[in-house]
Parts: sequence; structure tokens; C-alpha cells
Amino acid sequence: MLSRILRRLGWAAVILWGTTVITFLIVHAVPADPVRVYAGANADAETIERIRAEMGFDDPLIVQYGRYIGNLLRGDLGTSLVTGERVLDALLARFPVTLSLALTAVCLWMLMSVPLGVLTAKYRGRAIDRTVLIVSLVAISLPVFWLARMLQYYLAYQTGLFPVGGWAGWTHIILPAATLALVITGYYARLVHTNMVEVLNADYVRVARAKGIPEYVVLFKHGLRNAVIPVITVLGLDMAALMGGVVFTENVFALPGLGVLALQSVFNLDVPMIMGVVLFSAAMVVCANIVVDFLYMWIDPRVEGM
Amino acid sequence: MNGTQAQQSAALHSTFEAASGPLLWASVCLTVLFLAVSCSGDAPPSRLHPEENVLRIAVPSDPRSLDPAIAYDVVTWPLVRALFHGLVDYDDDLNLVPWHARSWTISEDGRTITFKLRQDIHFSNGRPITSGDFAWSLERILDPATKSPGQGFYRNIAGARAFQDGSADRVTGLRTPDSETLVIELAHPDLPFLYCMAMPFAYAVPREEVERRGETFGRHPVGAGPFVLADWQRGTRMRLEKRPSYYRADEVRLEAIELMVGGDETLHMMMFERGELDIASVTSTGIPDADFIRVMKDPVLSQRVAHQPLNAIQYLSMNTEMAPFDHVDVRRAVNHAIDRQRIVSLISDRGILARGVLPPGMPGYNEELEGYDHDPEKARSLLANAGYPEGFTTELMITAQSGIDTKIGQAVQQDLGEVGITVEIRPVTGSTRIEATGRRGAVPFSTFGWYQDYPDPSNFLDVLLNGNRITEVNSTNVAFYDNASVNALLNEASTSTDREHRLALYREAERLVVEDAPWVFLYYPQMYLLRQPWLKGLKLNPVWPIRYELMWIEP
Repeated sequence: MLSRILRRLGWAAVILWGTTVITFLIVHAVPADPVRVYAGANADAETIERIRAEMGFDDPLIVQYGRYIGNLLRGDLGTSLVTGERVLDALLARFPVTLSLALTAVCLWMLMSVPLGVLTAKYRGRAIDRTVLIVSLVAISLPVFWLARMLQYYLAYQTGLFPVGGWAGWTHIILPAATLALVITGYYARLVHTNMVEVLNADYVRVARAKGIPEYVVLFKHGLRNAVIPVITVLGLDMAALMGGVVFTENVFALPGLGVLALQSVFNLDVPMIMGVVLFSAAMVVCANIVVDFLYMWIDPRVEGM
Repeated sequence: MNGTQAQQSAALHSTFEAASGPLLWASVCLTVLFLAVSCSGDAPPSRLHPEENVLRIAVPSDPRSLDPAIAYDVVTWPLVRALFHGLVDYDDDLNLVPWHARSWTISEDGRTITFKLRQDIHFSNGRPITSGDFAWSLERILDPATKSPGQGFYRNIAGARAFQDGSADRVTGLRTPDSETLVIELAHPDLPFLYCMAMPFAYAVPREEVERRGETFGRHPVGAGPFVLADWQRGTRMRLEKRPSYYRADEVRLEAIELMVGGDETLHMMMFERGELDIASVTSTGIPDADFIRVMKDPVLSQRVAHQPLNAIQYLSMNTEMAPFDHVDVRRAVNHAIDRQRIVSLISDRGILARGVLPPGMPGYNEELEGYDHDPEKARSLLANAGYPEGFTTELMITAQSGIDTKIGQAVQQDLGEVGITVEIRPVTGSTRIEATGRRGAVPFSTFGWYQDYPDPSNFLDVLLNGNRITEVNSTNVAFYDNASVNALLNEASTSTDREHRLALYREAERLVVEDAPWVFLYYPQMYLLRQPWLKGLKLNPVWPIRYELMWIEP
């Protein structure tokens, strides 16, 4: 068990190091000049060169990378070129917003997709199954930013039921989380459905039914518990995809989370901030996968021996 | 199954009972139905917080810094102006008037400016401001460690270059004989330098606060302006509150300015229409592209629109060092081929047709310039003269995120296609375009916009078209236009101290530029601002479209 944990952490470190290399190369391969972005379109050439020297951008790339990694190992993610804010402070200030958005979204879609999956598995082939299938397909195909704008327009702007945007309390998280949840629920409902169908055909379910155990106990205790294991795995993998959705949703609803920070730092070519956001998100995805891994062991004891 | 597992199973079970599938689904459907029915017509917007004299606005992202040495964009400058105080300011006709300076004199040779300062003004930390504060603030701009984007405007102060290179530890041209006198000595005569003193870079900052805060002074600004920063939660909100100890506090009527940070123009428009914002957008966009026609046709909203021609120009730059644009007839042909009137109507008439370089609000504007009319026939014959009877193929670089650039690009592509010039549009990010076009020999043809730093023709002609300004990278002369006669006129004008003579020189230089056609002169943009009827005191001018200290709310 211990060696397994150590192995996972070792790989996590390798993945994060790789992330720094790739991000660093990409940021510096962009055919644009961070100093020019900082100094503005009206600045003259001499001003730009003086600021470049002051920011240390005239050093060779490998020197700049060495400096970055050296600071990183001491826990220093650098300072924003644009705002002078410490990158770690900016990330920690934004993280709670993104985390609450992601967690609310996950809760919403699990609450919707599991019952739907069970229901459609129980009544497979019937009208409700087909309706849910069609609705799911449509929902999966919706672009997140479009759905976000639609919900914002109809549920917030037109009716005033929700705030149209900004961040001032928990009511501001409902529509953005619902946006993410609506797009993803259909997919998870199908996932639960497929696994349930398989499980419900298993011998032990037939035995359980033969023993006269009430149907809801069969469905939820014998069926769902086994059907949900692969769903948890996929959930871990989906954390990365969720980050993508978060960028769009946060920007549409003006939530001050990591997604907005990511987009703004890219527009500003704020190199330390871009590096910080990417590294932080990568660390989150790696963590989520480790957690899922152990969650998986806990739900299904057979995994531990593997 | 052991005990723990049974408990977990029971917990799962009860969760699912509570949110049983069909019930949940039915309630979702009902909610949607209810909402669809309740979407009735538009209620007239009313102010969300009617009692407060607080201006509510929104900005798409955090200002990078409220430090006057760093801030350099149209959204942040009005905030810096609300927090700090400068020596000179503009009146409504764009003349320079005393502000913190009671008066100033310029020596015969135009090289020495002497400011006499008011003695009754304090920083918000209570300390009185002296001439030493202005001198130190200017020196701070020039200090390379400050990384000020505005340092170029003050490099003409005597001794500035030595100070920047580290060979002097003071700027010798900045002298303070006493606490109310500031003497600025220039390396060479420079009439527009006074305009630089009206830019926010030159506002006074208190040395003790800057040294205490270091790099974070821009987050914790302390100045002498009518407002102080009360709160700034990054990415969320900012609040400026009126400063009762401001020396003209009785003239400031707003209690506070509340900024929402974040969201795009579409979101801000929705908030405006719901009465949550007092101005739809304080960015140069003013009214979102997608909403512009609807707003202007709406009988209620259109009454709330204010507009102001800006001292700015939208143009296409042709790189005069790169074939085929190195041939003057090709550049003239392109000017004749493009229907600029159509481009102006494509942007819903939010611009004034350009015939030359200088916009109408700029001193030296020449309304007699003829420019180039739309004449494809003439364009074809000019192309034939230049040796391109069959036309040629070129690439137009545009900013991908800009809707206006896309419209311009398509119109240009079509118009030039009619005379045989094939244009391939190359959309790139704004930062890539600026970097690439400033590099010598890199980009033949690109869209460009220029917004003034100060209302003097030198800020257009000298910066953008003087051949002596050409650099290998980061050139501001992106047409790489180098005409010896134009350079001579511009150089003479830049050191002349006779205002009328200077303007005559600039007019002549502009005439030669138009003849040489290094640009396609498209239009002078106008700013549109959408504000609520209860917002008073909005006085637009081309230098300061937004002045918060003049505004108030009257429900």
C-alpha cells in the first residue's frame, strides 16, 4: 500500500515537471512579446528594451527556465508581470471560487444522472428511456459558452431569478454550476445506465430478486453500488475536461476564479501567471486522479491487490 | 457485508430516495415551463439602489495597477485621475490650464519651464505636497527599476538619459529652488512637453508611501485626488470613496464609485438594462457591436447615448520598404480602390471618414485635404503604371478578436479584388500583430489604430511617420515610411517654439504624407457612451472622455 502511494506521488512529480517544461516552451514560442504587451502599443523601442532588461527577458531561455525552477523548488511561483501580485496569492485567492463551482456542478450532475441512469436501466427501451437518451444527446452536444449565455439571458436577465453575473455570495454560483451540470449529466446518465443494465443481468441480482428482496433494495444496494465504480473512475479523468468548461462558464458569468485568471493572463501574456495557472490546474488534476484511485480501492476491495 | 458498508449503503439509499428520479425530472420540467411563461415583456429599468449617490460601473478585468507610473489604458486613467493630482489639466477646448500649478513660465529658448505650485494641497495621508514631490515622481518614472511605460515622454528632460543609463544618480534637469517652485530644464526645446506634464504619469505620488509599499503601491495607492481607494478585491470589485479632505471636496458630488470587475460587454449591457449599472461600458467600445443598431433604433435607449469623436485614427499600414508597396503608385492605387464610405457604414457609422492623418479634434487639422476618393478605374491605371497591370497577391494582417478588424478585412479584400489585387487575410492575436508589425521587413500590410497620448500633431506625425523613428524591432513607424523632406519638417516642428509656425510645418508634412500614401486613411473613430438618465455631469472630451469627479446621481 505504502509503495503504491509513493509510486503514485513519484509519477505525479514527473508529470508536473513535464508540465513546466511544455508550458514554458509554449509560452516562449508564442510569436508575441510580453514586454510589448506590458508597455502598450504606444511605447517606443527604447522604453521597451529598458523594461525588457529590467524584467530579465533578455537572458537565454535556459537561464530563465533554470531561474524559474529554482524559485519553484523554494515554493516561489513568481510575481505577475502585469499586476505585481504574487502568483501563489492570486491562485489561492481564486481557487475557492473555482472549487465551489466545480463541486456544486459535480454534486448537481451526480444528483441528476444517477437517478436517471437507474431509472432508464430499470425501464430500458420504454418511452422514458428514449426521452432521456435524446435529451442527453442534445445536452452533450451543447457548447458550454452558448448554454451559459442562454441560461444567463433567460433565467437571470429576463426574469431576475438569479444574478446575471459577478460574485457576491452563493446565489451567484447556481447558474454557472447548472450550466456545467446540464452539459455533463446526460453523459453520466448513460454511463450509469449502461453499467446498471449489465449489473442487473448478473446472477447475484437474479438471486436477490428470487429471495424476494424489495426491488428498490435490489436496484440501489446490489445494482447501483457495483454500477457506480466505473463512473467514479471516469469522474476522476473528467476533472481535466471540467477545467476547460470552467474557463468558459466563469468568463460568461464573471466569476473571479481560475478560469478568468487563466484567460486574462493569456491575453496579457503574463508569463509567470500563465505558468502558475497551468501548473496549479495540472496539480489539481493529478490530485483528483490520486484521490479517485484510492476512492476506487475503498469502494471495490478487489482493486487493492492489483 | 460488514457494518461500515451497511451504513454507507443506507446513506446512499436515503440520498436517492430524497431525490428520486421522476420527481426531480418533473420538477425541472415544471420550473422550465414556469420560467418560459413568466418571461413577459420588458419592464422599464429603474435604479437598483435609488437612494445612493454612488456611481456603479463595470470593467472587464482588473486594472493592472493604480500606480500613475504604470497605468496606461483608457479604463485605468480615469481611475488614476480620481485618486491623484497633476500640475496641469485641460479645459473643455483642450487648452492647458493650471491645476496643481498656479502658473508656469517658459523661457525664451523654450528649454526651461518653471512651475509655481499651490501650497494648500495635501496627500490623502495628510502630508502637504511640495515641488519636491513632483520632481521625485518624475525621477521615479525615469528610473528603469520602475518599469514605467511612460518613461519615453520624459526622456527629453536634461540629464534623463544619464540617469537612465546609471551614470548619474539624479536627473539634473529637475530642480526645486523652494517648496513651491519646480524648474524643468529640457535637453532641447519641446513645446508638446507641457502636454506630457498633463498625462497621469506626471501626477504626484508620496515618496514615503511608495517606498513603504514597494511594487504593491499600485494596489494601495495614496494620492491627492478627490477619491481614495476603499476596497479592491481582485477580479471581483473595487470601491473608491470621496475624500472629505480634498481641497475642492465641496465640488465633488459622488459619494463613491463602485466598480464590478469581470464579465464581458454583453454581460455589462444586460446589467445596464436591468438598472444595475449607470454606464453600459467605460471601455472604448462604449456600446457592444451586437447591440449597437438595436440601441440606436430604440426610442428610449437612443436618448441615453452620448458620443464624442476621438483624437484617433483607424488605418491600414503599407510597409513602404516591402514590394509591391515600395512603389508609391501601388499605395495610391490601394487608397483609390478601397471604398472607405462603405467601411464606415459597416461599422454603423461610428467613425468620420479620414482624408489625412490628423483627426478633426487635433490642432493642425486640415479640412481642405482632399485625400483619395473611391475610384477603381484610377486604381487600375495606377497599378498598370507601377508595373502591376494584372495586380498582385498580398497578405493583410488583422487582429483576430476584433470584430471591426474582421469587417475591415473583408471589405478591403473585396474592394482590392475588384482591381486585381488578391488579399489573403491573416488573423492573429492583438499582441502578435503589434510585435510583428514593429519588426522591420516582416509584415507588408496590416490594420492599425492609434489613439492619442496628447492633443498635439507630433503625437501622430512624428511618432508614426518620422523616418528617424524607424527601429529594427518595436518600431512605432510601422509603415517604415522615410521621406527626407517630411523628416526635416517634423524635426524642425518638434523643436520650434512658435505655435502657429509649428502647425504650418505639420500641415505641410501631412500633405506630403498623404501624397506618398504610406497608409490607407480609413476613418476617425467616435466614442459612444450609453448612460442612465439619472447620471449627471457627464462631460465628454477627446482627452478625458470620463471624468468621475464631475459626475453625480440624481434619481
